[in-house]
Amino acid sequence: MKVIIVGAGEVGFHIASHLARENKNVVVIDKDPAAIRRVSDNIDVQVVIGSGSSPVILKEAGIKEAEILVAVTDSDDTNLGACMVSDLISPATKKLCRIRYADYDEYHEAFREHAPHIDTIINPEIEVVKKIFRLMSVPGAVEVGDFADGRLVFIGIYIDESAKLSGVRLSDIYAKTGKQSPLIAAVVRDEELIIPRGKHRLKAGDLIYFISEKEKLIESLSLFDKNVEPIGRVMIVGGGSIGFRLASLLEENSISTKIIEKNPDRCAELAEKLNKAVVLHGDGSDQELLREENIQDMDVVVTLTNDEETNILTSLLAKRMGASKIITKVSKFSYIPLISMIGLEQVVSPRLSAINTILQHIRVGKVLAAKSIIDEQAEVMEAVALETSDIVGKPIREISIPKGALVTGIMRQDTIIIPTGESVIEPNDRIIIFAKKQAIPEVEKILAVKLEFF
Amino acid sequence: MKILDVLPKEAILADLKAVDKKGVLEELVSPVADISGVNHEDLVKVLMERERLGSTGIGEGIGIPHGKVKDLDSLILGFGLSRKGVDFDSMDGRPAHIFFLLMTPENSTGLHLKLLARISRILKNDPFKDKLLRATNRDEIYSIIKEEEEEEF
Repeated sequence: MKVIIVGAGEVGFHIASHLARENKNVVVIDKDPAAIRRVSDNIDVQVVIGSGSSPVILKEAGIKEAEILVAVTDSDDTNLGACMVSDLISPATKKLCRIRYADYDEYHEAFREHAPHIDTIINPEIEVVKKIFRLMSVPGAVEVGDFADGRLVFIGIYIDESAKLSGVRLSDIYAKTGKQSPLIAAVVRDEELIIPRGKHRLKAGDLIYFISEKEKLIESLSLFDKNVEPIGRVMIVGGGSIGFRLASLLEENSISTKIIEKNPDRCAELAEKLNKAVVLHGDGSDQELLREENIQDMDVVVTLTNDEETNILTSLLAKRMGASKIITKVSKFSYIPLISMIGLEQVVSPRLSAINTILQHIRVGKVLAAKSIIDEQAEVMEAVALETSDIVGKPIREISIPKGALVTGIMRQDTIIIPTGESVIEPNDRIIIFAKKQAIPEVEKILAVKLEFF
Repeated sequence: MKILDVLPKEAILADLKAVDKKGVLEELVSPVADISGVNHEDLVKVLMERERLGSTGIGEGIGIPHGKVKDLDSLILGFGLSRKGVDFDSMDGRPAHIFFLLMTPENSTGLHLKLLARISRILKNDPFKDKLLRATNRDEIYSIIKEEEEEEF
């Protein structure tokens, strides 16, 4: 599969290295020679120096042969330009385009329907705001993903020291609590990813990933001693575009919100645009200010400034001052693994969200969503089980499901099925699969249709 | 139904240039689009969508891209040879050299499946395959297929 990536920034670089690892044929275009050098020094891909919206450059990169164009420069205009040109030269190439500017929000659908016929708009800001909102609703969750139209949720949480299930075997959960445990797909212990069996004993400090029906989520969480409490008060540090989007969403949900923003002009702008949220002028890492604003009484503190280090420090400060729940925005990929080490569990990364959008398009099969989790060690996919593929027509235990992969949910029309070995997947069922990175090529094989599929 | 009943000579390409899946589909589709009058890009899109669900590269150097097309009047085949080989995401991971393209109308009733089975069957015949791989031009390819079909019937 040939993929052209326009923009060698953090997202472009990361997508390129992800795809190169999967042996895709990748060409990266950027006009900045230094950015291109960083790509060619580190990843085995082709590079072209020049503007990604130039027809000459796109042709040189081989746009006619490319299955997918991913336009992810920092400039929306360049991204749109690249899609426009490639729509003219090679209409059958799929176009994935990053558009951040909020003024375009209303036109996303039009960009799909009309030229440049963008197949998927990547808006990391919208994705991140959605993710923050989902994380807020699940206490202590490091991961909250919606699948099957939001009817199934995929959750990652830590087992606390005091949790009643700490030290309990998975197969004994029912005996111990009288409640059915949700399907636990993975456990991360000492940075190692395990697909647990019944005899697996949970331990404090384990990071577990489970799938639950949305309706049963509160019950499932209580099993792990996580009690869902309504969110009443939120403090946002950093009033940039993500901060503003989040504040608007919180206003819609009648959650009382305070925003701290350093820049006085931006404060005035925010105060004008927002109706109920309180806009405070100041530095989020100022302890005095945080104390005055009663940070310890906040249900959630979200740090969203454009400065990574400020976010991390402010979050640590907020934690020390007693804020119960903290969500930190981190963009630099290299920081993400460090964050949990210093005790900040909930992290969002706009760039990581951008990558998840792209994954869906490179997977074989009718994949509706794919989400990279656990520092890219695994993926959760939602796909349609197709006629003639190996996954349909016989009990799951008879299918050679690759080692390291697990079918965690089935949606048949309106029914949700949590599968056992006896379950039979039917054509057109939607299935949720959890897979370790190494198992993904094999998962793609069992999802793929046979030759006679038309 | 014979292959040559639905494979126009002009739709035989003896020297495909592209080395990537999409590029080779663009090439294969060209004559078929001209003959059938269906939009070139629409055909490519249908084929690419089908490839995403699972490659039609069945291994042993063979690809049989196919799809159903709304505006197509009747079933039509194309053929292409690639000297260099194409990365076609084949099951055996090897490059594909021989391509049969099969486009069928949306309301087709099983005829396309019979033809697909027939194509994959004759390509299991190694001497036939070798002859095709050595062919250098359109006429030669045409007569190799003709000969093979006459032998069978």
